Amino acid sequence: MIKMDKKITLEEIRKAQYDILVEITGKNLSSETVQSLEKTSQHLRNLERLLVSTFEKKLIVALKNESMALNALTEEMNRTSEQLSELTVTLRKIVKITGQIIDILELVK
Amino acid sequence: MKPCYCLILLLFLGSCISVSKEQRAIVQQFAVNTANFSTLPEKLWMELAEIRELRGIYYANSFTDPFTHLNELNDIVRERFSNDKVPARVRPVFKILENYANGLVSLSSDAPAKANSKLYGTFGAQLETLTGDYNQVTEVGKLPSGLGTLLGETLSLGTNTYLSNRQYKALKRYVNQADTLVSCLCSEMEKYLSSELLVQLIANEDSGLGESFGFYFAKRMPPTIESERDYIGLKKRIVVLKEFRQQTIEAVKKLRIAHLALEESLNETKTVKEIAATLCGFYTEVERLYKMLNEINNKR
Repeated sequence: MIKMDKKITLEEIRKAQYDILVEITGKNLSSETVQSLEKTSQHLRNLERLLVSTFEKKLIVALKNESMALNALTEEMNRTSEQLSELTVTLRKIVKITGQIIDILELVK
Repeated sequence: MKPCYCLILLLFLGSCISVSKEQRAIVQQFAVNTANFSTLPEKLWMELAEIRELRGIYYANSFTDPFTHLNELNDIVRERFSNDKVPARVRPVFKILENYANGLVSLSSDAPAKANSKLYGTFGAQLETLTGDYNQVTEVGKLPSGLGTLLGETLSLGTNTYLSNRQYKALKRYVNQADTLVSCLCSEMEKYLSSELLVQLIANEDSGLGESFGFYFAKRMPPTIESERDYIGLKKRIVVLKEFRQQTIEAVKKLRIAHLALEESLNETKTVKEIAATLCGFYTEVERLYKMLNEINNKR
């Protein structure tokens, strides 16, 4: 049995998806920033999907791809807007958790 | 006819017909109910996947960027066809139970042996393969093997209109030997169904539903009546799904007790009358599950 705290991961990831959409709503952001944020939200959505289906499966490659895309977008967000600093912290945390999940899965494969 | 009425009728008939035939009918009814039940728990994961898909469509509609929107829709389709809705570790448990129950249906059937002869070889082999596969992928909860081989041997004896003494013994042996397997399967099923992770997955869809629709509504005010109906429909499905999980756990518990009672009846330590209430308890739970499933289907 894979030991990991999926509760924190799932909840945090889902919350972050919607936090991004909250950030977009009602703010005068450039279309590039909106695009980047929506992409990040969609990557988080895929991460949620993967975790939901990871009941006992090994999805290292898929998880790595999502994690890398997420990492790149987090960097991009960090550069584009200072207003989004709190969200960037959450995303960094998610990228870290994703890395931990990959490590655990690699250990048990 | 309701299962309980069938049982009462069987008890009445029991006084007029031979004991073996009456017991065979009891076993047959139990086997049919077990086979029906074995296909139900996986509906839980299927339903979760469907709710996830539907809320995903609303989530996709909260994006302003058309490419991200399209990506989300493509990912929904990919997920739909991933064929992994039921966790790989859980699926074999239900399949083994289904196989065992189907074997029991054939064994207690009054159909001529030739009619089912093609199936005889496959049931035993399938049961053995499934048990072996399951034992290979799990570190804990090893299932006893050898039952498939026994089933293959037993079914090759054939069945007649009246259960012969030889077949009665074979049936008794099959049920006796399967008790440990059924008990292990029930433990595994209960473990998966009561797991905190499954509770979290349902809770995740529940809160995700509110958030997905929340952002869809934020982008499209006033919302369409259709979208509001979808939201209410999905919310109701989540409520039924939570009850369905609880009900399935109850049915699993009753299945274990019912199988033990059936074994006691075949071993003649208990009479058919004495085990009637226990068997009825299991059949009622299965019936309830079917009603809930119909309720879910009607909400679609």
